[in-house]
Amino acid sequence: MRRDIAARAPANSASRIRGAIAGILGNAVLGIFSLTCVFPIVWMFYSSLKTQTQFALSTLSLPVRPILDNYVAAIQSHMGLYLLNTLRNTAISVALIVLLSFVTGYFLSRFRFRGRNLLYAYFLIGMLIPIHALLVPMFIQLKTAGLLDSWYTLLLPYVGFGLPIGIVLAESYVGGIPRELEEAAAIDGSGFSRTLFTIIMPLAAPVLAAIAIIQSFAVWNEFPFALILITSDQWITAPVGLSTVFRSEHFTDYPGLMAGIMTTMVPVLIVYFLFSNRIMKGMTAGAVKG
Amino acid sequence: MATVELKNIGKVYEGGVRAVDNANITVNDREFVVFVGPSGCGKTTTLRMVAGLEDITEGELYIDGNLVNDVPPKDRDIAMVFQNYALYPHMTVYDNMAFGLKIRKYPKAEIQSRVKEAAGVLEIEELLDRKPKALSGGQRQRVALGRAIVRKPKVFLFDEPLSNLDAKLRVQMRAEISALHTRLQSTMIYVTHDQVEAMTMADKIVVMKSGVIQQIGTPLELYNNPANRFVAGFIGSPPMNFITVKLREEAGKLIADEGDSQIELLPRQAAAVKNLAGKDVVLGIRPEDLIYDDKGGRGIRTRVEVIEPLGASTHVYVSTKKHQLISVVPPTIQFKVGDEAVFHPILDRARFFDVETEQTIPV
Repeated sequence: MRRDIAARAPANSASRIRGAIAGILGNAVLGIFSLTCVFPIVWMFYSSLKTQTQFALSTLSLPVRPILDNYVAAIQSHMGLYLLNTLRNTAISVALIVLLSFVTGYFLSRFRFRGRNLLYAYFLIGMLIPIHALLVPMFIQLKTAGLLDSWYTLLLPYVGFGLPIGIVLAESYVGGIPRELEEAAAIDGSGFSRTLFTIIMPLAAPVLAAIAIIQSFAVWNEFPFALILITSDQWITAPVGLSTVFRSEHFTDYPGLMAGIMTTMVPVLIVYFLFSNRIMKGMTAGAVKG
Repeated sequence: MATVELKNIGKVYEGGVRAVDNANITVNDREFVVFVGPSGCGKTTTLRMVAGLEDITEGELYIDGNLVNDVPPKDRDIAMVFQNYALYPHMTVYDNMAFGLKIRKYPKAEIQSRVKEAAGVLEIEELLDRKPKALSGGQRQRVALGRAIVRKPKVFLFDEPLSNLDAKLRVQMRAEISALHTRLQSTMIYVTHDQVEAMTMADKIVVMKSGVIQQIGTPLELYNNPANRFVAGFIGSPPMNFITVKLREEAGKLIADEGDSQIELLPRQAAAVKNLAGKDVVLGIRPEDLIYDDKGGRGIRTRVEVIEPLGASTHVYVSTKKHQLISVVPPTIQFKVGDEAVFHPILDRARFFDVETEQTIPV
């Protein structure tokens, strides 16, 4: 017995060393991967503090004397207007997506009617269609309807494309809310709308917050529709603005562009750090019922 | 206060599934009526039809003399306590209790006084600022009761309200609900699958099976005079023993032949079932009416299978070649598994059931 243990000891230490090496290698790979994710943002930040000459001399070097001129220029350019446009589009679209997802998801979850499964499948399919496949039809449709190039133009595709995932998440979440709450409210004297918005909606707040956050990111960063459907300078959004403000035919103001990108990232970063827990929950919302 | 009357009430779901069939029940003013039966017997569906949460397919429902088939729940002046409490999780206990009154636009002072009064009755005053998630099961049940009480409705409906509580708390809440009924003097309808709850709380019990009412009566009526084998077996704990016997005449007497044991029927019983001589009937004997004979006379010969000492009494599970029986004996009698034991039925309290229809044969 004792001999067995003695024989096993070197084998154990060898496997411990192998495990330690595997751990170090694994962590090194993950560390390098994290750096590749974080570095572009860090690089973008310190490059935005350089002059164009400094940037042209060395794209990777740190700024010799950091300057904020690029930020002042970015804010003083049309970027401020573009940011406002993006902010308005995001606020209205997300509000509509949350409201319509909740109401539609509630009805799909609670009521069994003819065509209910077909309707649900229709929304599911909506999640599978890539935006780019619909750019041209959408352009023609809006052009024919005379809805192009206006403050509300982008709201239509944003809400339309945001609804499927919102509805699927809301439907699943509402399914886990006990029906007895609605019945108790009905007996208490609450009408349908009051029950929907004062009992069920507050209980669905986690999934509605998740929908709001996910869609805020999507709408804030949206590029293809904003590029195709908007031509007037007054309605251009920040992502499209970034590609035009700091570029001319033969020249790109990279430090200025970096400053512009950093400016548009700030609201998104604030939202992310404030609600990162909810975002994680939102990613898995609806995965498990109840 | 109010009466509730169900006339020929039926419920048929889509696909033709009949959940309740021709229910006729009268709940008198201030009466505590319990619907009892196994899962799927239609008791909850019946209660939900009274509440207005299920459409009534057939028949008429009257509350306080008014036909309410098409009246929505909020206008029926009822309150309901649900099995899972159904408290609004995002509201405090106070808001939960006040919700119905706020909707009905009661003055703030009136709402406050009613909630405080109900909280005092249920001893939950210190919980009024808490959310439901910060309450124990028993406290949640009290809040659910409080939400019903503050409205001062005509009829209280309870849908298995104690099912989610542990055994000790269930006994305590059972007594409290009974006390509440005495205090409020309201009409109450209570659904449960637990016959002990039904027996201990009800003024009147409605026993249901497969959507059909089996019998309506006071607890002791059902216990002593069950209408059929189902009611006899469902009401009473431990359940009634059923012994299939062949009746035969012997020297002018009627003998119930169990196979191993023969039981001579009483003259009045013999007169009542004489026409069934030569046929099988089911003899129903309550466990407390199956008396152990330590002298081993000519009773039912059995073998002891399981012994359950409860302190105040002992449940003894015994078997003959054909039947498994239960007897409740004093704790002073000691058995060992495998013992041979003879039991005498108290024939005067025995019931007879038709083998095919399972209806009680009057004796």
